[in-house]
Amino acid sequence: MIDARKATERDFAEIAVRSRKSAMDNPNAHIKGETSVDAILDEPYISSPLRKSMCPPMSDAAAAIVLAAGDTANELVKRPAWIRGMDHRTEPHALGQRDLTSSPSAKLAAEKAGVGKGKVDVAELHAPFAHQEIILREALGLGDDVDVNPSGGALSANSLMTAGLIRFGEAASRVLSGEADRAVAHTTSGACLQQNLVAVLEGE
Amino acid sequence: MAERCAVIGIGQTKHAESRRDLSLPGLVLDAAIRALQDANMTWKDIDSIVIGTAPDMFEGVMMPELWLSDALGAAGKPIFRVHTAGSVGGSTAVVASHLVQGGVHEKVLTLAFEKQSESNAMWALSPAVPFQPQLVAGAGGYFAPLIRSYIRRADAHPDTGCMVAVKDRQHGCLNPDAHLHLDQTLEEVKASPMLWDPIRYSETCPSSDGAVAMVLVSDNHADRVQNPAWVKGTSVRTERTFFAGRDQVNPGAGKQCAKDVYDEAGITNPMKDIDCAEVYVPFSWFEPMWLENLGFAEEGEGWRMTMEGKTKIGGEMPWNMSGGVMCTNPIGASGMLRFAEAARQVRGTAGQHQVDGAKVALGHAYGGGSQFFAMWIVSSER
Repeated sequence: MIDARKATERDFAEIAVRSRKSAMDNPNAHIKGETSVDAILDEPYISSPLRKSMCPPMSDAAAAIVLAAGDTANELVKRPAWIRGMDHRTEPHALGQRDLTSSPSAKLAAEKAGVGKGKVDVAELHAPFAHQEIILREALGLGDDVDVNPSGGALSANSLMTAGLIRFGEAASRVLSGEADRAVAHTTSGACLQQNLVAVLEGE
Repeated sequence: MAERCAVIGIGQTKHAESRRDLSLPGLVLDAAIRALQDANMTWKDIDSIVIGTAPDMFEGVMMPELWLSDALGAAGKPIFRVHTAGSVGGSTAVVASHLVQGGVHEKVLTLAFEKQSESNAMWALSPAVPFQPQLVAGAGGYFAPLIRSYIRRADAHPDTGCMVAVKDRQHGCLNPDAHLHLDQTLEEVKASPMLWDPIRYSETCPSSDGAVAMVLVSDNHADRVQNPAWVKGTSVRTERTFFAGRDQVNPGAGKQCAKDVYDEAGITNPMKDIDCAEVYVPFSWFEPMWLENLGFAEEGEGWRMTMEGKTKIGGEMPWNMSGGVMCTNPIGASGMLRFAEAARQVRGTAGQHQVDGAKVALGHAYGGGSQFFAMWIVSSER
């Protein structure tokens, strides 16, 4: 990303600072707190150009969500988060066959799920490494006005295989609570965002 | 669910102890291409892929669906993996059929595989205490006490298990894709070494390499072939492994799963309404046990059907016409092979092991400690 002039290390650090700060409002987050871009840029590399705070913690967690159809959903809660679109796409496994600075499968899934059909209030992106948020924002066509990862995201709690369902739940909970009218949930699997799922959740 | 679902393509590899000539991607590709050809389709016709296999440690490849995406032309498509232990092949096909029935996709490629030669599943299932309760050397160690209990409860003829082995191996000789082609006498099976009393060597399934694939489509694509197999019912049920109060010989989840799939398919009497069945029998004694669990025989009477020859091809209720798991056991694929063989029977494409005039067939899979069940009923009639 740096060689392709799509981002700088400072951009990665800013994402880490924002995520850890947002996590202060999330009682379930693993790592949270105020930090600064300069402090992160002073950390040693874990694997250049990624420094410790640009990488996720290793967390224990479980998550569950309840799905209900039609009238049942309306009977159970005041304001269901309706799944208006959901799509899942994959890319080749071999890294050499892919441009790793972009995510065509996330882009395709977002198109099929209908992300661009309306204004997005909140997006929970499964981006365990800071730079992945930039790739995913571009793939999903999310502008600066979208509140990305208000939970703190996977940078603040990364229980690997549950992190995707947590994104789904965090996005839905903001519609359920009325904080957002339209939310996007994104989950990924495989090395360097090989598989991506995108869902659009809406209130009435 | 709104849409009807039909099986229009079935393909499988030649199964063997070791397919050294094929890599894992090569193995799944071989089955997939055969299924596509059978369906008169190409890769670009496929909307999504649903893949199943047994636990990752059986082959040592973590999340093989990610690696196999390339071999299966999945780039730009959805691919996901189902995992329910030994029943996985069955539950994978069920998930694929639901994608069609739910209107999510119209043309789904579903497949399952195992390359047992690249690992040792028996010891992968047998970590020492305290990591799990002791299984005493693989699945046979787990199931042997259940079989002993069945024999005692049903007062079953001691030769029943050996009779199943002889019958399934005879059926397997009619199936060119089967791993084992063994023409054995009852005396030969009875003389084979005792592994896990009462399970003899010749009463166990082999370890196989193999893959199977099916193309499932909605109504408006079924006319690509002349003989689709229509999915009339599907069901999956689960129960706890180590709850002391459960009946592991005749598990409640298996009975519930059978009732559910029969209700959905409109089957009131399986002996009358079903023409033949492919049932997951990895150790020979499970034929009489499942005959009872699935309602083909009264409790305690299943072994009589076997002893009377009713479960042979040409008998009243043929079971495991392909030779079943007793002849071919690529674990993750074994369940889907049962589902695929049921579909072949009602399509009339089962070759030498075809049951004359079969119209309705049951495919069955189980896994874990007799705790995961998956079944479907397929029919030649829409």
